Amino acid sequence: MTHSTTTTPGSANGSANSGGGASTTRSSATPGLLDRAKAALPRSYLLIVLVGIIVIGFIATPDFLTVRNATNVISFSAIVAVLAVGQFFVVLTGGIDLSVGSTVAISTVVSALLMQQGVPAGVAVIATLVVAALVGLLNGVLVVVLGLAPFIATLATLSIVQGASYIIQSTSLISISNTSFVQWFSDGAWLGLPNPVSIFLVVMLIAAFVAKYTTFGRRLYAIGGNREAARLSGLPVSRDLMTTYILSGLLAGLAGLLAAAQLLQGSSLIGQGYELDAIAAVVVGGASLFGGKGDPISAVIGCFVISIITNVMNLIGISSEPQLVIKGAVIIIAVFLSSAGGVARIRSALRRGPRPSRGAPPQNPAAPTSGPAATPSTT
Amino acid sequence: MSSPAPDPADSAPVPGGGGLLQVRGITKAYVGVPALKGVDLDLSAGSIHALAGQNGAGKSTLIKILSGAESPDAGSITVSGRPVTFRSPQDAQDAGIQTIHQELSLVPQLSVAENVLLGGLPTGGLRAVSWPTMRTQARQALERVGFSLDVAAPVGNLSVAEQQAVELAKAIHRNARVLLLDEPTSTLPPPDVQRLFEVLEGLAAQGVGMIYISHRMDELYRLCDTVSVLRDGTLAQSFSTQNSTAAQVVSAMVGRDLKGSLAEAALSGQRSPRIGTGARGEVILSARDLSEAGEYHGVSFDLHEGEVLGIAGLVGSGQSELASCLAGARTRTSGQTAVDGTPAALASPREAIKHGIGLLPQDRKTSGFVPDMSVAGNITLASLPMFSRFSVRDQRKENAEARRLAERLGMRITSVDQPVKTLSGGTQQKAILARWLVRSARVLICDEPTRGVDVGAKEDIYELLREFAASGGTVIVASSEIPEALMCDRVLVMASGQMVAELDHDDIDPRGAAIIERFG
Repeated sequence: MTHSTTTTPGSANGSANSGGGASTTRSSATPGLLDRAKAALPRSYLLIVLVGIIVIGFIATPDFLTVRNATNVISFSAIVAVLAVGQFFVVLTGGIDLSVGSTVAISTVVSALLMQQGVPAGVAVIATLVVAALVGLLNGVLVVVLGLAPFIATLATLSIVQGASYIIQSTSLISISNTSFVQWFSDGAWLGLPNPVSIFLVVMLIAAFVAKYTTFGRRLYAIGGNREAARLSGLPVSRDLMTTYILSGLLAGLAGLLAAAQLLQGSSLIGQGYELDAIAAVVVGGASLFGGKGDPISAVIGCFVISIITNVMNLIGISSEPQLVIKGAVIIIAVFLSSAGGVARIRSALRRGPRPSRGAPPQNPAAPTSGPAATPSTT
Repeated sequence: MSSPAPDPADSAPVPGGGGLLQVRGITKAYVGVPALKGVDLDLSAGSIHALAGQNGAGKSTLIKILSGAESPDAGSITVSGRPVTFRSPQDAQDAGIQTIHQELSLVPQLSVAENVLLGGLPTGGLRAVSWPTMRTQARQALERVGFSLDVAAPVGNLSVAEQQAVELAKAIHRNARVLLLDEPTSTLPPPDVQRLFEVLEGLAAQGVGMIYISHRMDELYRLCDTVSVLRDGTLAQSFSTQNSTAAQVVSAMVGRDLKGSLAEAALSGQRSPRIGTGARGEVILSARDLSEAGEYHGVSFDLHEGEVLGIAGLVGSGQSELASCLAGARTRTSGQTAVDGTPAALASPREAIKHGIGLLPQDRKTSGFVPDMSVAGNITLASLPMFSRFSVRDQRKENAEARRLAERLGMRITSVDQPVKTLSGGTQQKAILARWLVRSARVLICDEPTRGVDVGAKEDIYELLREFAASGGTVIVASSEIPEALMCDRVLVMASGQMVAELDHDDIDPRGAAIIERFG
């Protein structure tokens, strides 16, 4: 057998080596800045998508960039944005919460029913949030104590809660006339910002702080990133999982209050399918359903990407059926770009493209010319 | 050639000279970081060529390129004189290059025959799978690797060694001319290693060329005819195994002289220096009649403060499970444990950690670290309250502590923000060790602490354990590696889940025969 043996890399291929060496020094000359830019990429792609959609909307219809429409979009998005933040924490741990849509429904029903009975708005709000948190607790017990898969557990809860809200509602729908409730969660404004907007901004910022700067947030990233490592490090995995499901329920309750105030009614039909919008928002925002990745602000941006597209399509008069198709396609593209590493894959495919194909005439493999010839395409 | 500086005439590649596999000037960089810088390699038919090098030296990258999983940035590959370009693993397999990965790629629910022929099941009429043909072909392939198995049995029921044989048969069935073997013995018990070697030698006699990766020097010298050493992405040196020593290879791997080191001692067959100080203080942890169904039975022992206790056994003898149980990571069926003379159930890692017991798990990837999390985050994972006030983390304090430990442990990192998944196996292991040093653990339970860790890092880890013991820490080392057991103050020998012997350091001969003969 032959041995290509020297103390330094093969001198026979000196030119190939120097070519490779040059390429590496060039690309590693500015690693700090480049790497930092790359680390920030997922969210910046998301922002580009968001801005792109806003530009398209602006071009497509003059009604899009009006204060009235913007307020409408943001107020409506506030509901799903709050859900997305709750969903984010569950998804961060590697779980999923399918029950949030039903929780929105039961929250509108409970709050409307209580206020119809003359219960003061404040008490109704607290009672509603307690009910929603209990739904989250149920999810937590099913997942943590009984060990059911989150998908199955929350699917069952979805059905239970939906049924319960039909039963509680008993009539067709319960209208809301409590003015202070409507003021708090829909019509009021604070420092010029409509209350729903302030509410989701506060929720998002607190969530972002919790995720990034608290020990709880760090533990969730660890649990989602490697649950066994988290357990072996002595983290309170069960307790933290329980907390995230309760949190998700609580935020779904808050979203229910926003929805009730906006629609001036309680109905078990409200919120159907919201869980899928929230999950779509979270994954468009770059989170992985395997857990351990993403952040709440990106989830909220993801939510806006979806709702602005819907809004633009509404304004230019696309009927609701093709809207669903387009929405699905946009989700696929956004997720491919943000979390599936699509950008990197497209880039490497482009880079590979111009290389000589298999059909190219065979070159003498030992000839050093093949080295430098291929090198420029990498830089 | 006889020395590290071989005759250049001997090493000059013969153009198209009958080589089975020719690799020229392979270069590959990941995001600007060079992994391979112009590597040449020649493999002739029937040769078993070892590829050695520390983690991060470029071995895996080279294997990935040869198996078609990655494309090189520059360079060429020739198989039997024909230049090839691999765009996918399929291309490489079509060219006759088959890879046996460390983690076997079999479908446990399917039968042996189905696994062997998975790439293209033989079909009969109506394109239905022809079972008789499949069984015959599978049997023939298995015969060539010297195994006769029930080809209808599900692969999941086979032993690791048998599964490996299925994997080899699969490669043979696909007309492998070149086999890439990535640490095939890392999970095999010694008798099966011998069997595997016989199989590989048989295949070599049939003209198959092999590239063999292993961290175990003794294996390279038993099996291979040539050892090529990669260091920092270049081919540092090639040796003929007949005219070189393991110490030369290791020196080439680490790029420095090893005189007087643990690795050198181990390689030259000397008694490895002791990690422990031999101190025998108060009993810190006691175990009575520990049992876990199917894993270990009626194990009792006392762990003294400051000692290094080895629990030695062949792979699957229960030592790993026992170690995990002591760290609260596994639930036992029966038995009592006590810490400092007070009963403590050690029912969860959380409880064990409260008692100052930390675990270095066997499988870093699945249970050691959080891959996407930063080095700092992984190091402080078990002691978050120390780095926070009112549950708000103090990032600066965390980073400072992580930097201090990274420096103390000699971790090769660019920053403490670097995700742990980007580090080499040894550095990852150090990060987990650092986690327990931050926590000021009193007892460190190490389950196969150096599995998949290269020679240089291995020595670092022994050194760190020695330091930990010297500063009064207590260590349990559960291991299937005899040299590791030899470093301990006291060794409990396990066989089939039973504790069969307790040996003092001084009672064990330098080769560890006293331990091996008790494996039964």
